Amino acid sequence: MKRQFKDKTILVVDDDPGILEVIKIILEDRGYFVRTLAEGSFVEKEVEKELPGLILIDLWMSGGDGHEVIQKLRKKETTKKIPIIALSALNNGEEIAKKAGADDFLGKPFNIEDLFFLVKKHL
Amino acid sequence: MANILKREGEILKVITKNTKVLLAYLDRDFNFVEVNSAYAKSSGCKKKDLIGKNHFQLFPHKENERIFRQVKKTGKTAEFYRKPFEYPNQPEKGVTYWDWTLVPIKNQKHQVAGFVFSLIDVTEDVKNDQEKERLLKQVELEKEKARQLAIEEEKRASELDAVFTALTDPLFVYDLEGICVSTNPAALEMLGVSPIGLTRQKIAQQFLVQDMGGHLLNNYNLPSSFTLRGEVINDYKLMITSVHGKKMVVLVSAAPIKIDNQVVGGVVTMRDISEKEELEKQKDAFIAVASHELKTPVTTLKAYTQILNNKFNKLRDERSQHYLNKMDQQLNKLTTLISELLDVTKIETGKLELHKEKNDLDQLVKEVIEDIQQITTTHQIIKKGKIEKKISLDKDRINQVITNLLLNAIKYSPKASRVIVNIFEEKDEVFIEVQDFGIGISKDNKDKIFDRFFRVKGNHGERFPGLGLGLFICSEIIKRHHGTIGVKSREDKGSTFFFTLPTKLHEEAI
Repeated sequence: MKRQFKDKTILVVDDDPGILEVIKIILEDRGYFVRTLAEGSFVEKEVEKELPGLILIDLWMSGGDGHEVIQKLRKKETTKKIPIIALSALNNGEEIAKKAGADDFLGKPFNIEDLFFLVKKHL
Repeated sequence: MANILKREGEILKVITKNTKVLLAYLDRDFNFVEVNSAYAKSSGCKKKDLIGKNHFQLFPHKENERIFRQVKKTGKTAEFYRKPFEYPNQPEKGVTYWDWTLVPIKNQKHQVAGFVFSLIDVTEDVKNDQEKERLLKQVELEKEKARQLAIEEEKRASELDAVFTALTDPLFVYDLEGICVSTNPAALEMLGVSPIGLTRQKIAQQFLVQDMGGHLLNNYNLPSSFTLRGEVINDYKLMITSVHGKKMVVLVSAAPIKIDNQVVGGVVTMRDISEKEELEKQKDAFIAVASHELKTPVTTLKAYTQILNNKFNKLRDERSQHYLNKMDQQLNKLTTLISELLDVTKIETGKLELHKEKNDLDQLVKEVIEDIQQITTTHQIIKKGKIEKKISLDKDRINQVITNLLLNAIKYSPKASRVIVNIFEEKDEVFIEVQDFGIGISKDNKDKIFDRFFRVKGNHGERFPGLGLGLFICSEIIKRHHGTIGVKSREDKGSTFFFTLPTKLHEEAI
């Protein structure tokens, strides 16, 4: 079962290239397929191309706010069931994430073990 | 002839007997020869006791005696008006006043042979006049007082006027009917028209008075209404729109005017704090952005540190792993510092919100101790006591407080090897004590230690790193939980920091 889930892609959305890169390294190291995206406004199109198994998305980005993206995905029939983990360095990030409809929240900076734990939980 | 004389003598007698004028005939040595009944009555003596007696033996009076002698010597009549006299034998009469004349009677040789002494009692008139004068004086005095008061009042009014004019904050004075009776140029400028004579409701309409939520204030809640009900308001934050359409945030203060404890009106003043508010907002936004942006590279650094740590773990390179752990700890510290900055901003702007839920405090203490134990190799943290009750608290924030106290205990006891966490219940409170065996705190510092930006210097002058915000934030968090925070300490012996939380739900929390 586990291997099968690992075949699914994780879409990581963050406007900071440094964070995109390190998350990609961490997750690929564990055998996940990772797609990255630096702008929130492109998420819908990207998701339509191929449904990811999980979305990791930053809440506060220059190119389209994460919480708005989450709300949009939650409204669409095709995307509303995709598990979403919100990431944020905002102190009240968890609250915003819950309101927007994210399944889980991971505060920045994070421990990579916590990241694995949440990814495993949803994939 | 003799008949005529006799008849005149009789008439004279009748007049003498019945007149109110006091009459006495004295011989040349001032002995009474004859007195009429008015004289005798007034002197308080019987006629027979007067006749033959010397006037000045009975009524000694140096000045009068001198005058009498003068009359005797010169043979000229003496005449006085309203001359005061006190009867030595009738002190109860007090000072009496007299119009009197002393007429010398001369014999054929033109020598003074006696005197006719006639007096009219004018005491009543004099006293009336004196009373009148006194009243007049009093009236004058009152007039003068009133004049002084008027001057004083005018002075005060002009002082007040100057204060009003100099005041850059708009000011409105209302009477009991809520009509504006006085104002200042600043109010005029803000309102565009003179508010004098306008009702407070009318003025409020001109301003579009809204609360901070944007709701229009009803009449009952207008600041002026509070004053007319006898209440004082301080720094009531409201939004108003000036006639020029400028939206402003104002701090309104207002107070009733009372005379003899009766409300007769009210004063309302407001201060435009829009600029300050805007700056505060910008500052908040800046710190929120700064904290967010600072955390972003820390996130990446921390992630790489952990990736490397995993690599070295696989390679069994413990030394490198050790270094990386140190790096990770420093990154955690950096994260804490960034969070503290944000917390302080929130505290200052009243935005530190708590998300309270019933929690197992005992378990929470255990978890924090475990977390801190993992990152300290120098100290053993010992938990004593137990709390059974579930407590309503914000788990993250209380975690933050305990963490802060434990890290402080370790930081300020570099030579010690243990820290004791003692928890217990007492009455309606739970106590959490963190005891260290470190440098302690001097008496002077004990009160300041929870102040913002306060930092302890070691007793030997050594400095400890940090922003001086940790305990300030802790105390604010505990305050918002309706608990208390404090410290017991002896220099060079160690400190015990404690905080309490109420076990019963505070009203506000229900």
